[in-house]
Amino acid sequence: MKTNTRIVSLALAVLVAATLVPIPAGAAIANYLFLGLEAVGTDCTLDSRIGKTSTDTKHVVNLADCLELKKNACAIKVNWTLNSVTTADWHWYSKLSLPNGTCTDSDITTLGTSCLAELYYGEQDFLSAAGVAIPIQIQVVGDSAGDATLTTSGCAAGTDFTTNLYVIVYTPALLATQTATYTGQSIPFRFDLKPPVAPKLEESDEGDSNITVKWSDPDNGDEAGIEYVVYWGKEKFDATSLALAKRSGPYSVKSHQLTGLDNEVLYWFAVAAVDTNGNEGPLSVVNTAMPVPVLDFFEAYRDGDGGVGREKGGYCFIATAAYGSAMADQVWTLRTFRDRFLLSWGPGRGLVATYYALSPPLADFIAGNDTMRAVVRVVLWPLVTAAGWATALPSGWGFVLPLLLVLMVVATGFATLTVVRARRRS
Amino acid sequence: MRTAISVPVAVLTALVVLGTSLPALAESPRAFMAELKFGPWRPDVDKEFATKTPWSDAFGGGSFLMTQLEFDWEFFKKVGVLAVGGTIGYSQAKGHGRLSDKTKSTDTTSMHLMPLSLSLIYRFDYLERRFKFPFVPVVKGGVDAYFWWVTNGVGSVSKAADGTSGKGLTMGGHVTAGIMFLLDSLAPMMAQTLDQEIGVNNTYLFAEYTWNWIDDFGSNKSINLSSRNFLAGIAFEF
Repeated sequence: MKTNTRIVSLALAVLVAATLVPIPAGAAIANYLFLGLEAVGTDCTLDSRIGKTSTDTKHVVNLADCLELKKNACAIKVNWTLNSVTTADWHWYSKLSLPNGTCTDSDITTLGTSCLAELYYGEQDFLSAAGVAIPIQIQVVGDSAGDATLTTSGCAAGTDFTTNLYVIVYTPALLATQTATYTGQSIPFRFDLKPPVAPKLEESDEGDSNITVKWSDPDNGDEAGIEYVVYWGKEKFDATSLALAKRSGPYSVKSHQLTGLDNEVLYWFAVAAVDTNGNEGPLSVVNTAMPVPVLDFFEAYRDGDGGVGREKGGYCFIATAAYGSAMADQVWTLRTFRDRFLLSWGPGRGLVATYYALSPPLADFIAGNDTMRAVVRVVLWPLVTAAGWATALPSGWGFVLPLLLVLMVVATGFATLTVVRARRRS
Repeated sequence: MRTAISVPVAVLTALVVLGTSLPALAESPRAFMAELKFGPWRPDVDKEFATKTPWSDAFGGGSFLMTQLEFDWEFFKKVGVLAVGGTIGYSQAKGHGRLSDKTKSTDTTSMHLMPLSLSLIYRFDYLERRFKFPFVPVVKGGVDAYFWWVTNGVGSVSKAADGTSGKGLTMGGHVTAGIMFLLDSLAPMMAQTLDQEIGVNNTYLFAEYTWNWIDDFGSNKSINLSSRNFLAGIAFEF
């Protein structure tokens, strides 16, 4: 490969060589192949958004990328080649446009007002050395307006522009037989150095071991693909001390619940917007919130004031209505009888379930009528007495009561039968 | 003397006449019924307590939508229809937790319920089949198993201070009474076509009232999910 390199005294260092092949004017370079991008320099890397591989067609540099390239004096090496050519000698040229500008790609004499005033030249035998990569380097340097740098203001935040790199080729062997024509290929590089503005924090929700951070974003509303990151922690932080905070996200919605927090501990948080090219905007105002204990339904249901789940012994509707208080001795006696005898027995549980289903409206009626309350107390007296005897029995003697009941029923039935038969005989 | 005929009677008469006026085509065999029904649901949790109202505090005074799907197998079809059926449903109550001062928190809490039932069903369709009277009374009874789980403000299953997990299974029973209206009486030709083409013998709109006792048969260690529900829906007999 013969290469004539003329390094520009200004910002660009470009190595270009090519030989023209008669190709119709205005057409892209035949057999042109983009081979990809590389970082050149110490501690230099390229993010995938720059489109490093040979199949990438979009090449984007965001603000952080630009500052990094400039800080470490990195260069972007653009590799290209021609494949399957039939002529040996090629001449090639490279041009670079100004931000949002263009260069002509059909000649090498006209640069125009939006093209950098430098031209780079090289020569290459693509026939014997087929597919060899030709590098062109783009470097971001300089800050002052006097340098013809990639941007007139370096990596100035707030700008968003495209710079086009042009490769122009021709082969001298054909110049003798026909008019030389130049064919060009452009590679656009977008420098998105414009981060989104800060969102506005709304009032957050303080929950049990959690804080729901909410925000609005009226100023970035027109920009598609905006996402958000949340910075948060127990220590106060600001834009210069983000290392003190944890980073969550990005999220496409405008709220995020921080979980696993400590109740009654103050937490600091802020939000930043991130655009589709990874530009993270400034932080919102930093706010604070404190998670607090909350009883959800089940916790409230099980919360002890009176016991777990149901109040101790449960609720005896009719007896409470008749005796006026759930704490009355008679009510406690009936409740104890229920818990000790009825609930330990299948039919007993069914009886209790039926009682709970049917008794509340009856209890409401009784509670509002003193006469009915007195009548019910009279009716309940033998039951309360029997329940008292039964609950006084030692544990394990529970069978005695049902046995006594069965004997009473049998005795009553026998007595009734005897009386009836005696009357018939008489 | 002119006798006034009430509108409902006139409508019913028209339906019966319409139903009996069609040429009788052989009906395909019927063996099953599928029901889709909806209605409000609110359990009697607060009745466990004399003073506390944890359900109302979290979920308010209203009801929540219960959706149920029932599938019956008709095993007796002489005078009326006896069937056994299974039901699966779902309901979700959404509300808010409470702060220590009893005020409402921004944290949400939800109770999810999946009731499963096994029922014996009797439909008195004798009048419908004999006289084309389009109303069919129905009674059901059976046992239930309600799967339930409660979630907290971060969407996890709740856990009480004593370590008890906020999910479980509560058993019980139910009794249902309802009435079904045969839609076929409004469009007999369409009903016959439906039977011939896809085998749906009858289509009903129905409403039913259910008494549920869901508290592990009176256990004072179980949450009380008993309720009285009104459900309405559509049924297909095939």
